Amino acid sequence: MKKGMVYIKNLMEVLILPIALLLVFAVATKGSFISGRILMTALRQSVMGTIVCLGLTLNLNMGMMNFAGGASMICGAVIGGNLAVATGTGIPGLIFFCLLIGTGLMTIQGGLYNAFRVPCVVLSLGLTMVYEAVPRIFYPGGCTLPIDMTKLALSPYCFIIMIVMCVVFYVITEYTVLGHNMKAIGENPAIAMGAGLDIDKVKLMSFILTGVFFSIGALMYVSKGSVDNVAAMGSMPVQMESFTGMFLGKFLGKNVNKAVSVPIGVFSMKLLASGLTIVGLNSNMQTIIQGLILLVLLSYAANTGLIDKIKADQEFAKRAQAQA
Amino acid sequence: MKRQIKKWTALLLSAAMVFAMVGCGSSGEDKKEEQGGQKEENQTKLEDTSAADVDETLAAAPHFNITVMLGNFTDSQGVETKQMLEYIEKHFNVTFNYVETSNTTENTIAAIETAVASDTDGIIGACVKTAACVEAAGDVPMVNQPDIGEEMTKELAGKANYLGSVCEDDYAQGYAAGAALYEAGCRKVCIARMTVGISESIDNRGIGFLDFVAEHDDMELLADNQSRGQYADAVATFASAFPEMDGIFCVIANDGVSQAMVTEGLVGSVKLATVGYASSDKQLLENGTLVYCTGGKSAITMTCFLALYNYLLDESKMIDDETRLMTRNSMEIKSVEDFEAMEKYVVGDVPPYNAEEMMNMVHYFNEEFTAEDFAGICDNYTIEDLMSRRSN
Repeated sequence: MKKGMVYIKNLMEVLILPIALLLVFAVATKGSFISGRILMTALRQSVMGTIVCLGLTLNLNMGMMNFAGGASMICGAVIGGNLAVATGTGIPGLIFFCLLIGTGLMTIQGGLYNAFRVPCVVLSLGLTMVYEAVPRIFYPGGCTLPIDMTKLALSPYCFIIMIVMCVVFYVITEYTVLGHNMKAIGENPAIAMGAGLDIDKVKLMSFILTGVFFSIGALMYVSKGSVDNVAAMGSMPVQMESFTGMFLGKFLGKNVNKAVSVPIGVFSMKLLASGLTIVGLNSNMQTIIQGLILLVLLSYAANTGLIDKIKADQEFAKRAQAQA
Repeated sequence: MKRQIKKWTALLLSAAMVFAMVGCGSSGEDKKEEQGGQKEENQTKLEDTSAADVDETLAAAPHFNITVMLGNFTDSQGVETKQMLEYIEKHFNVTFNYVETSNTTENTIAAIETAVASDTDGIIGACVKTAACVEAAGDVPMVNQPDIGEEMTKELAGKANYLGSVCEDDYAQGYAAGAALYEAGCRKVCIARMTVGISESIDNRGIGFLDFVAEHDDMELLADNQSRGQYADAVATFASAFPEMDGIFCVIANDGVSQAMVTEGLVGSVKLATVGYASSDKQLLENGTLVYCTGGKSAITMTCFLALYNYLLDESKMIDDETRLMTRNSMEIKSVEDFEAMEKYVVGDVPPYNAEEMMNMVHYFNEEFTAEDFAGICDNYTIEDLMSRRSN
């Protein structure tokens, strides 16, 4: 019973942001913001970001920042989409080719990471350029899917996919040896190595799993209808869109699994963007407000430990004075 | 050992980056070798206009290396532009070097400096937002292609190597899109546009549209969404928040937007106007959802090429007044027939101007061709003009 109450309290900590946003925009729009369609649209728009964030989190949990997510998604979406169209295999083919390419790219990246010991940031930036160039060689016009192949981006399919991916993430991080090993390496690689963990193997597995999440992200991306090729790090916005949500999820949901906090973080950002558009603020004000809200929330979340420490110190000082 | 591994890693990453560069680089290396040292002045003139003769005449002209800059060659406009330039390269004695600038001034200046250092003969510029870009070109002749505004055009006009700017009137396109929505009965509209400040030409489309709305009291702007390419998401947000909406203007067409119109259930109740077109737009034209789009924008680079090529061959200036922007008409697509013609004649194997037509727009080959004719051709760039030329 007590455990259940703690879990609900932790969950409320994460939910407080979207609830607060809903209330603010409901007041600002005289109630019209509380509409099923607006919420469902924001939720639908957060599906791809959530899946990419979860993939990035798998790497980030082990201290590896992977900047090649957007590029690998575009590569997988363009090549996978075109192959599915060319082979006439429809949505099953699209899923297969996106998974094949996305997972393959991340497996190669993991192999290179282990072989050359280059920091993940450097490696991923170099590979981003390669991933961006490869689809341009084969399909310079990008990829446009016929409308009957875009169903996965629609409700209810997109929500089913998101739920499945969140459950997969939850099971991997909470109930598998691999998940615990990843956490151990992320927290202290030296101790993990001392305990006999095969760090290379765990990191490679982390890349492969990240590849699966990016592949599904690519699937959702191309299912929106079309994907243009990019160059010169043009894939970054695809990934960056998810970054803020990921950090929100990471900081706000310190006490719940990321499978819960990340989707709520991404959804909150989409809700904020939609709300500011509907309220009618111009783009500069929207950007400033988004930046400020993020700054306040992340500053608060990052310093909650500090506040607890100050409180504990004050408590200790009181007790010391009382004893004296 | 560790050092060795790091060295090899660095080498491997460098190789990867070079590989990536190759993906967007020029494919004209072998051509350069074949045509090396062929810059002597050949005074060949056109006598007969059969296809073989055209090619022969064009091939006998002096060879030039030309640097073409664009934000990117990867979106639909970039891909079309590159196809058209490859067509020119096939028929004319020129070699293009393609450079992507991501629409930033730093990249543009760096690209111009690199082009000058590699002895380019001329530059077709993009994202020339400051006079420093033109100054970086030194003596190398330069034509600019996107809309840079009247003031900057006047500032650049004094530079000896600056031949002028050719652009489409983006403001007029935005305004015309507003008019098309108004004519279709739309009174409560939304706009999805690129975050203001990234591209002046794209900003102008939005300004044109907003001006049209502001001039009509019975038209109401419900929402103005700005993003970096997430227009389909904007359509979904509009659909969910504004059930009374009856029109959307999107500053850049893409298939995501067209498909969002279908998937959000807006067909039949909301009209769409865009600048540019998407491959799936034919269906929206058929069911009356799309009331305005434009095509053939990529041919602007061909027009710039002709202005530059004229100057390189015999110093003919096709833009006689450099203090004003030379605006080329845009192809308005309002029907399925227009769309089909555009797909056939603009995106097809032969670009809007074929080799013979282009040759006749070069003073070196056609002594009667003047700057006035050039301006007339720019003004007459319509889908009807194109269809009549091809039917002949």
